[in-house]
Amino acid sequence: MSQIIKVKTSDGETLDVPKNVAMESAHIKRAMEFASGSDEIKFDDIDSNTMKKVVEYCEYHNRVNQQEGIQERDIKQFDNAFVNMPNNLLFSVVTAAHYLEIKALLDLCCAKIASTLKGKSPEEIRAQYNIENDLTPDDIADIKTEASWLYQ
Amino acid sequence: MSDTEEGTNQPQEQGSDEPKPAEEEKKPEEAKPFRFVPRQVKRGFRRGPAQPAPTIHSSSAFAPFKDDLMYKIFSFLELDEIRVMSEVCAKWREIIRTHHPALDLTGGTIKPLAVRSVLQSFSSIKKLKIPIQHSAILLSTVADNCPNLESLLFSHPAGDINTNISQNVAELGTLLQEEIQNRESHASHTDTQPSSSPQPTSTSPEVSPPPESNGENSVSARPLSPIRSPKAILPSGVFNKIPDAKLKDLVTKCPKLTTVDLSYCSMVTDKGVSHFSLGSSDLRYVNLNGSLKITDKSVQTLLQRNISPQANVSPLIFLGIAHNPQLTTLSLKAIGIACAQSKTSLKSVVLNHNPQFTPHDLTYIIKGGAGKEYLDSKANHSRKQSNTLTSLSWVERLDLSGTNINDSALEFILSFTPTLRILLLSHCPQLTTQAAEVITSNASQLLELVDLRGNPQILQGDLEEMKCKLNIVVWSSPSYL
Repeated sequence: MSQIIKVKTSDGETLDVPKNVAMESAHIKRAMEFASGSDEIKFDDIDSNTMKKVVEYCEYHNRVNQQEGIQERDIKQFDNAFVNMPNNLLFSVVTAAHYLEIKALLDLCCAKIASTLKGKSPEEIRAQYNIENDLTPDDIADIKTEASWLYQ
Repeated sequence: MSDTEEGTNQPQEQGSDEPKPAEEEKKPEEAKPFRFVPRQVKRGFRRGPAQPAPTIHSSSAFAPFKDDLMYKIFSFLELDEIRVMSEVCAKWREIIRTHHPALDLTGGTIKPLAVRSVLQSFSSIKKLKIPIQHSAILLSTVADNCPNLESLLFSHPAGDINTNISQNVAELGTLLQEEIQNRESHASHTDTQPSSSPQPTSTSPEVSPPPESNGENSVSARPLSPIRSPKAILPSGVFNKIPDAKLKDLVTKCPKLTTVDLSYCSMVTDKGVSHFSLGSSDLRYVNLNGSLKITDKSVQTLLQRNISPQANVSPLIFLGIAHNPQLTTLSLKAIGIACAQSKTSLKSVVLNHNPQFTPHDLTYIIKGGAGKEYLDSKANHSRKQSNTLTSLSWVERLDLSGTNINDSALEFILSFTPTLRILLLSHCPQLTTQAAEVITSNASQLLELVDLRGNPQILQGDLEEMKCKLNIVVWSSPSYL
C-alpha cells in the first residue's frame, strides 16, 4: 500500500503528496476510502499553482499535528506569511479549500479575504473586485431597512 | 418593494405597488402544467416581473464562488460591515438574506402583514426577535416559515434584566445600565418633579454603579416597591398574548427550538407548556416570569422532561419563574429534586419577586431543604443533615431579588451552590447587616457578582469589606431598582 497519492491538476501536472498530508482534506479522505487500491486522484478545477499552495499548507499543519512543541507563535507566523499571496491566487486557494474541505485553510483564507473587505464602502468594493452595480436607488432604501434588522 | 418578490401563489399582502399586468405575466411563467417546481424557487428573490435570480457579473473576481463560501467570508465580518456588504450588489444582498441567521424585527418599522415575506426571503433564520404587541398574530407566520428556528425572543419595552438569559457579568451590567436609563426616562415623563440626571453611560459595567448623588432627593426616579406586580415591570403594560394552541404549533413546526421567551404571557397555561415535552423538543432556555396562569405543574414538566430515554437528563439550562405568586414550594422542590438526581444541567434559576415563599421555602431549592432548627438558631451551624442534601452543582446564576430570604436561608443555600457565579439579592427586606458576612464566608470560589441594591439595611462598610475579601463586582446603589 503506497504512502503517496498522485494528485493530478487541471493543467496536466501530477503532484506526489504523502498520504497523511492529503488526508487533511476531508474530501480526499472520503474519496480514498471509497476507491480503495487507487492512489490517484484528479481535479479538473484546480490548477497546479493552487494545488501546490494547498499542499504546502497541509504539509505544515500535518507536521504540526504530529509533532509536539511547535509554538503557537510559530504557527501564526507561518499562517500570516502563507496567506500573503496575490489576490487571484488567494481566491483559487479558497475555492480549492472549500471544495477539498480543509477547514483550517478555509477559515484562514476566508478571514484574509474578509479583512480586505473590511472598512470599505460598497463603491470601493465594486471597483476593487470588478462587481457590477445592479441595484436601483429604490433597492438601496429597501436594503438599508433590511440591514437594520440583522443582528448577532 | 420586497413584496414583488413573492411567488404568485401567495396573495399579495401589500400589493399596492404591484401592477396587475405584471402579476398575470408571472402566472404563465410558473404555471407550466407538468413540471414540478420546488417551493424554494417559488419563494425566490424576484426583482421585478420576469427577471431571473441575480447573478454576479462574470468578470467579477468573486464569480466562481459558491454562495456558501461567500457567506462564510461575510461571517468573519462585524455586523455593521455585513450590512455594508448587502449594498454592494443584488447577489450579495441575496446571499446575506438567505444565509444570515439572526433577525430583529422589533424596530417598529415593519408591519405584521409584511413579516411573512420577510421571513421567506431570510430563509435560514435561527434566532428571531419580534415585537411583543404582535406576538399572537406573528407566531403562526414564524412557525410556518422558520423551520430552523432555535431561539425566539420578544421585545420587552422595559428591557427587564430578568428576561435576559445571560450568564455573563459584563452583559448583565450593560443591561442593568439600560434598564436604569429606561426607568428614568419613563419616570421623568410621568412625574411632575424635576427629573434626576441619567446614569452616566460611561460607567463601565465592571464597576459598581456609583451611589445616586441625589440619593433621597431622586423623587422623580420613583422608588419601586420591592415586591412589584408584573404589570408594573412593563411600562406599557403590554402582556404577551400568545395562546396555548399557537405554542403547540410553534413547537411542532420548529423542532430545533432551544430558547423561548414566554415571560409575561397572560394566556399561556400548563397545557401550553406541556407541549414542550412533545417529541424532539430540546428546550434549554425557558422564561416564564410573570406568566400568571401557569402552575407548579409547568415547572415540574420542564424539569423532569427527558429528551430521550437514554439521555436521562433534562437539557434545561435557564429557568425563569419570577413574578409568579401562584407558584408554591412544589416548584422549588422540583428544582431541588431534579438537581439532586443529576437530571438537569440547570445553570440559571431566576426566582425573584415571589413574595409567597418564606425563607424556609426557599431552601427547598436544595433537595431536602433546611431543617427548621438550622434556620432558627443562627449559632447552631451544624451540618447534620448534609448526608441527605445534594448541591445544586451546576447553578451559576441565582436570582432571589425581592424575595423574603433571610440570612440563615442564604447561608444554607450558599453552602450548597459551589459553582455560583452570579447572585442577585436586590430588595430583600429580611436580610440584615450579617448578610455581607454570610456571603463572604459561604460563597463559592467562582462568585463574580453580587447584587445588593435596594437593601439600605446593609451598610456600605459591610459591602466594602465584602468587596475586599472576595474581589468581586457588587451592585449597591441605595435607591430604586
